Amino acid sequence: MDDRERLAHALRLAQGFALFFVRCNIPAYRAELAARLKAQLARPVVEVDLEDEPEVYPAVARASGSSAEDAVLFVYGLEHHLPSGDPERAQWTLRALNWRRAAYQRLERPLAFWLPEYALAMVAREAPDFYDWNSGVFEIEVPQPQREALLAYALSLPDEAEASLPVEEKRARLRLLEGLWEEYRGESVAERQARLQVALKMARLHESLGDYGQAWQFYQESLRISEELGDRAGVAQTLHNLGVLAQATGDYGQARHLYEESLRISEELGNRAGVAQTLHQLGMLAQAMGDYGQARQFYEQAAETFRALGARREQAAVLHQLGNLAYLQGDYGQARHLYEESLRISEELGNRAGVASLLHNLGSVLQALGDLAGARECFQRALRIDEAAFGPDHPNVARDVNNLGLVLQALGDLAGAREYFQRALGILRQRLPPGHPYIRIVEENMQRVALHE
Amino acid sequence: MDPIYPVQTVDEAYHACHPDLALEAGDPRYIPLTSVRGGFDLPVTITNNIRRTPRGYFHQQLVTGHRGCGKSTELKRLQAHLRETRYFAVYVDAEALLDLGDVTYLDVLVALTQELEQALRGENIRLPPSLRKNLDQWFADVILTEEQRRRDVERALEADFGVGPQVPALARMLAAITGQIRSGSYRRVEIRRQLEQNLRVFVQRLNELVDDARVRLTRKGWNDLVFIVDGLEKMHYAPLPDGQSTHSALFVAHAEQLKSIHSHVIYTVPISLVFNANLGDAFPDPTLIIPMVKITEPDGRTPYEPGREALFQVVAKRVNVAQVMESENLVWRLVEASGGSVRDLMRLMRLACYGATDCIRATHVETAIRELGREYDRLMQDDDLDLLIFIAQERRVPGNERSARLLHLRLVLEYQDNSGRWANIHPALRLSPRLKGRIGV
Repeated sequence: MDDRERLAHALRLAQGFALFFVRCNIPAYRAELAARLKAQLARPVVEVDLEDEPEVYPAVARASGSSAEDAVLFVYGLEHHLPSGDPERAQWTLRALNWRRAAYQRLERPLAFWLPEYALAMVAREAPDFYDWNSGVFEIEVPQPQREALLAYALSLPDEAEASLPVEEKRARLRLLEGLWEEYRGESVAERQARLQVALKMARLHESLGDYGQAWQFYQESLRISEELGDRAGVAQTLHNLGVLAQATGDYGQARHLYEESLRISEELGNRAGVAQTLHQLGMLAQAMGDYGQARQFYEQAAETFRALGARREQAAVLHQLGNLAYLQGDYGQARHLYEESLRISEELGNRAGVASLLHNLGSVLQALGDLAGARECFQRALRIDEAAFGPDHPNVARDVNNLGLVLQALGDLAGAREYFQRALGILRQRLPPGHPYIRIVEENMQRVALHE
Repeated sequence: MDPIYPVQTVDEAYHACHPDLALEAGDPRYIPLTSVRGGFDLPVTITNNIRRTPRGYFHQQLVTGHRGCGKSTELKRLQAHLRETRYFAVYVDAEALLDLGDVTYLDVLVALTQELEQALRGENIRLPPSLRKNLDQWFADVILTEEQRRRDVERALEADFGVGPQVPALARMLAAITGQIRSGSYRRVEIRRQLEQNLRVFVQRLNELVDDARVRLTRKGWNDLVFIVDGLEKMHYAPLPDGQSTHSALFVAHAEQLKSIHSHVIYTVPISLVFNANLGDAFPDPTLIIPMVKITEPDGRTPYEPGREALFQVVAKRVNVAQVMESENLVWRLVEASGGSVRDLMRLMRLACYGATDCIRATHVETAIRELGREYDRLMQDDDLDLLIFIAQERRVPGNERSARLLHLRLVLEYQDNSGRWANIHPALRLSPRLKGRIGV
């Protein structure tokens, strides 16, 4: 008899107060199982979701108060009150559970708390008196087909597409991945490979949410699993990703070390694409550190390798980067030339995102060269492409709109400029976490217009 | 309606076995476990100690034991026993009154005051109005200063209309203070600060109340007053920056304050403090430990039949074994798996009911034991393993903070008999894949 049937029996037997914990790592499957149990039980089931509740006990007490005498309470979402990133809040929740356990007892209803493994372990260790009153802990394994389907779904979107999802959607995906992370704990190679994919996906999502601490942790996990699996290419790739993260957090020494390590492995493996990719990144690091000469060398090596490999998309990206470097050094003529070359390749490839991004940079160069009409045309083209590709509310659209605002400002049309900045801000505030650097940039533009008005 | 024990069916067996309810004194399910728990009868021992305390002195005793060992049941029996011997025993349920996540000695003293006031009222003992008013006014002055100031305007208005300030009754005042302390509001910090600054006077006022109550109790034929403070052992455990813990901060650093009350007091303390050398200095009477029921000899192997028999009876008092269990052997199996912990035995019985229809069979019992193993495995952290292996081999607990945690979570159990005290890991841990093969039998 498995835990599902034991749980059903326990829920039939319980009268008055009884405390149950149901470990279920994946909310989607939890909903399915809870619905089945509700249909199967000959007694009312009241469901309480704590996700949007400020506190645990009042929500449970409220639901209990309005429930029939023979009702069972299913309590979901306790994990939202035990956030791993906020130990103080988690501690508060746990203490409150521990000292209010007698109050839960006075509700005189069977309570089934549904929660993922990590939250269950926290309750067990940190609210031991509460946990100790349990009349059963049921561990629900997600059945193989459902698990596979959820994994496929979680991994289905390419990273770039995922990076531009709305924040809420990203968090929802992370919750699913957290569940899968707990589910895939088996020792077989297939299980561990799945776990590796999940860790990488979680790391990237955290990274795109600006949560670098968590991202770091999951890249470390994926590094560990790649090493265990003897997957050297995976190790090199993860070291590369860790380098990007270290660079993003300003730890340039660490970033350089990680890139060099990744580069060494890729060279050993004869993975030229991997080598070029890391050279590209080393170039960006040198650029960030102000060493433009070295940056150019890295970029040129990378561009040459990509060209030789026929990796035209990547080649275009590095040319783009070289253009940025020239722009930074004030060599606008050279920058324009490099952007145009990169643009040509991207157009041939039909890489619309790349084209839009290049038009954006080309427009900036033209603007710097005093060709405001040309700049405006570039930005308008970019806007049309991005709107068609991503809809009117995408961060890339915001970027184009912001650029048009800057051109209008240079042309002296302050009211028009302000309108564009406002539209850009509207999009960014909706799509990015508060305080994101993009939001700050547009806010500053807005303030500058206000000053001139 | 109460069922007739022992019950006859699996469903009733489930309801007869509670991991979350302490038995009230006089419950038909009660089994004396005294002789198999180190031999002392807690109610008798403590009552005798109190009786032997010379007049003018107070017996102030600490009691501890594992979570779920039957402490509350024993303390409720103590209260009943004391009352029978004409001691006015006030049972203070710290869990119900205080925020165990954050307790200070001040909160404990306020809770004692509140419960005493209530108990006296229940006994129809009226404190002299002057005393009530003194204490109430003192609280009003000290605690409500800020609030009073805010009400200055209001009060001026009242004065203009000839309405005096409405001083709340002492009971309401005390309930309001414990309520504030318990709710964890920002006012708590302020209240404690005020009490602490005026500690000497606070204790003096509290003792005036206690002294008066004792005189009145004696007139009504009571021998004396005793506080039984239960639930304090459940206070949150956290290491503090100075190397102490929340536990030692209350019971060691503030022992003097806890002892300042003019009365016999029994406090429950966390089991982790048993290894704190300073506790003995603070409370000279040895701490009474309610150990686990002894089910093996100290070697951890040789069965101790009287202990097993007593736990068998704990089940048999509740459940008709012949009716509900496929075989008597299954109960012996559960007794062994419980490690001598009554709560785990109750939980195992419940777990064994799941899936059973007409009677509990071997498969249900084995599943229940496996499930308890899973639960304990969850409590164990990887860096606990070495210490657990050491304890399983040496059957003693090194006195350090990490051991305190293991005792606190019942990963390690303490036993006692005439030969002394010893410890072992919970038998459920032996099922953990992380420990298998690393420990002997």
